[in-house]
Amino acid sequence: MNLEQLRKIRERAAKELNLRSGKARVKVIVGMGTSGIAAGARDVLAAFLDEIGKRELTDIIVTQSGERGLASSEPVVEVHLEGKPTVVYGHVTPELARRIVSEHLVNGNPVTDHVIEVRE
Amino acid sequence: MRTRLDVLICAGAACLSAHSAAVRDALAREIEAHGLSDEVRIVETGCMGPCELGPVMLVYPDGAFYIHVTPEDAAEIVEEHFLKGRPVERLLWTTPEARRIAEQRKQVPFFAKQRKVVLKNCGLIDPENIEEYIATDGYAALGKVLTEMTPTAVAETIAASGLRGRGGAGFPTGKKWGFVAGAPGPEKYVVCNADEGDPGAFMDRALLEGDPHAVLEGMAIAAYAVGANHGYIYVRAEYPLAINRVEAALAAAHRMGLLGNNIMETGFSFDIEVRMGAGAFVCGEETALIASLEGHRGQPRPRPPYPAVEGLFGKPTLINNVETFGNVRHIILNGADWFRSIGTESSPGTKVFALSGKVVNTGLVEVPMGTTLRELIFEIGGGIPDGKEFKAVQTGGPSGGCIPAEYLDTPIDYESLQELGSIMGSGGMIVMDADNCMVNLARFFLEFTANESCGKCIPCRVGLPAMLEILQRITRGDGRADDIDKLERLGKTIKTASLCGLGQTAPNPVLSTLRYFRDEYEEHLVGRCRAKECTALIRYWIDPEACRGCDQCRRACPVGAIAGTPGNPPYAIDAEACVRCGTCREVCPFGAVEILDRR
Amino acid sequence: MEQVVIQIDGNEVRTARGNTVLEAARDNGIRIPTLCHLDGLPDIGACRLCMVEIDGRFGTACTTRVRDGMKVRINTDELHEMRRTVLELLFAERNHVCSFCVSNGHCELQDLACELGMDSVRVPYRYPTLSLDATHPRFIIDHNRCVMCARCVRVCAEVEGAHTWGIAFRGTQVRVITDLGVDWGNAETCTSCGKCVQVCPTGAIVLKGQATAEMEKHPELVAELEERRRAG
Repeated sequence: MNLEQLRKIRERAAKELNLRSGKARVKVIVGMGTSGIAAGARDVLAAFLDEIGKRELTDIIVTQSGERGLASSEPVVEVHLEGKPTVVYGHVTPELARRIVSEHLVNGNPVTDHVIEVRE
Repeated sequence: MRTRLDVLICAGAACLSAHSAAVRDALAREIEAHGLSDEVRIVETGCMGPCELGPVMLVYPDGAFYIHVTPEDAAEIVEEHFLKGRPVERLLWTTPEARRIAEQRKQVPFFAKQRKVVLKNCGLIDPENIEEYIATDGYAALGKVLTEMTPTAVAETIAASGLRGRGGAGFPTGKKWGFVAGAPGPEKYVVCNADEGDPGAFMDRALLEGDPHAVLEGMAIAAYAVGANHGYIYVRAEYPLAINRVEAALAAAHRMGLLGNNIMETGFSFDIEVRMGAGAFVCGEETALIASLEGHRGQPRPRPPYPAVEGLFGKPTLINNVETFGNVRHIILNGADWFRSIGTESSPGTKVFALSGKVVNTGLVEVPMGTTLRELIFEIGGGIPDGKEFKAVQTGGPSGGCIPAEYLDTPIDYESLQELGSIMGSGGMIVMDADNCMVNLARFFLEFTANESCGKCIPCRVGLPAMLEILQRITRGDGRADDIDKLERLGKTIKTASLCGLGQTAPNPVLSTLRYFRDEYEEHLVGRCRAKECTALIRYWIDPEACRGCDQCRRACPVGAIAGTPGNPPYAIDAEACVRCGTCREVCPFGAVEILDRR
Repeated sequence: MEQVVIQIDGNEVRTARGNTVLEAARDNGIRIPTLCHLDGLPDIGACRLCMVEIDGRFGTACTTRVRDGMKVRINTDELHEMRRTVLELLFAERNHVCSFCVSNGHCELQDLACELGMDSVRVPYRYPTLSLDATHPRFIIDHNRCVMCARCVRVCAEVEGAHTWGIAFRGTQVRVITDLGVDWGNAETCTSCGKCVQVCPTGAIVLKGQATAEMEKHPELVAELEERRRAG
């Protein structure tokens, strides 16, 4: 690895991070810090994967991250839809995860009563 | 001037089609015209729900909910509401539904008011995927220092940034790097202190779990600056996930040639090992941490010599906290001036705080230094739950002090907290309301530090339990007239005479509560606890007027201290038998059980 | 040897570079109270009795090395009060009852109490229930009288090289132990050299068969031993 190689990886990875590579339309990030896991993030992650699998949705990436800080609202899930503001959900349960898949990821309507942050 | 008002304009599809964008532009023009641009911030949000009332708009912190707003209304709203503080009544929506939405949306300031530098990636990138870190300019700072900067220039940049140790003491980081760089000898070490022990503090854990490479990169840059080739991360064993993520990150960085031998083909080599602490609080103290790393009993030793001169295995050692290392790459990439533009003159940059206790939004917040306690607790933290009154905030963990309401507007930095008798510490913030007894709180923290004293030096080992015993008898109602003087005298001696930071700060909760809440101590001496928390000083009483004889309290009482016949009120509590557990008060459907002074 | 000039309580004194503040004071006939310090053993700065003011900051005289122009204050009201409080805490910690102690009259803790004029203890006594280990054929350790100075630990490790003594637990539970906590009589590493007995400043580690006030010790032996070793 030298600086040039590092730059190439950065450019490629940045595209993937921003959903511009065309591989996926949606990215779901489940906060998997200790606070999130303690509040049930593992079950939420499993519910997302299960629901997405059942619906045979292939353009959705589900990934994990550390915690964003709002411990009292864990489990926290971020949804990135290409060209839309990023929506952050709090107090996500496995049931809510399934609702997010059907209402937000498939139909494009955020489940508003559980949104804790919207940002560009 | 800080942002005073947040205006949330709905940018959902329905509101957009009702011309919310034109409203936004009109408001922006009026705000600009009135010179309020720095004080009022417009935030566009996703759909708020009441689409038929659009365009809708929420104003924080007052929670005013405007509906059917037109561009023509903008002038009036800015003039009357934003400037003069009088919401425009004719446009307000005040139904319970409006309040519900306002409450729900209230959490937005939790994120909006923060300034994320260290925690920027936490919650965004996958910590187990090194490419995502690289995508956020990861390892670019390391590449920059290795190819463009001399070690001296790196230390000078950190010094110029004014970064201070985030572990609590606030020592200038660049100066420390300079000491280690200047210390003679071929063998040096870089140690990351991740022995985060303050109850309720978890900023280091969050960073290690959410963005481990940032810490590794900071350490590697430090190693280059001071001339070290080996590093250690001393992390407490209670953080298994953090340990896993750090080890995964280390493996990935090694695999890609970003750590280890000949990093990025520059000839510089640096590797890092993870060491687990066995759980002693004192091992967060740098000399105790080093002793523990060496395989000895984790006990501090007197300084000087400082670790920069004689540290790990007797070699010059740079030891910094997780959050300090987390700042490094941002300073290298953005420059010292950028860092100085955040925070205050004496304390530049941001600080991560762990908000807990009686506050609506508990969790980690990162704000510029100089943010006031009020902004932190009331705007970001969302204030005190259940509309109760703020009483005090304990900063700096178990060895910090309590700060009362009159100092809420104090800008937070190292010096201001110290002047108030508290410390920055690692950034713990425990908020208290009127239900918290300050004497009992001091007792609680002292119990922790007395238990965690390593036992090496006498003032801390024996002095803290002596103070604890006095506090215990005060909260039991057995306090003696000279106990307050004794606490002060002992506290001062322990602070000056103790060997390490643990003993030198442990009396702070007692001394600061004595400074600001002395009347509560005096009340306890005559048998009264105003917060009704010290069970020895209270009794439960059933108001005969309110009791309806439902029998619930009698059935719930664990010690059979309540007598009465169903349907034949009032019931009564036998004060002698009562253990003051409070169950009766919790189960009473009529609020008939009251807490009175025991006397 | 190169000399350094420092100030002690306003008077200029000379001492060799590399000396500690404690050594500098002693070379010039100035007394600083000590307890955990013992000539011939490495200093740990644990007892805090040799606390002095060095250029406006508090530090232990036994662990601080002299620097040119250093200003040291030993005799201030604040320091006297601090030393006395520390000593009171020591007396309150365990069960130091001089009247029937084998070391009565030959005890460094007792001597310090006289020197610092400690006529009463103003902190609550703890009266802990502590054990006494008489399993060793020749020696006894009575934890009731131990002040945790760790002299036994240091002499055993640094001079005898046996590493029998160690420290376990923390806070008020802290104890000196032998061989990971086994009874002294079963401690396989113990060479029964008796150095720990000689260096113990109180009646905590003593020879068997001594009656009240009979136990006289010779902690100065360690320094002599070290001196002879250096001479080869």
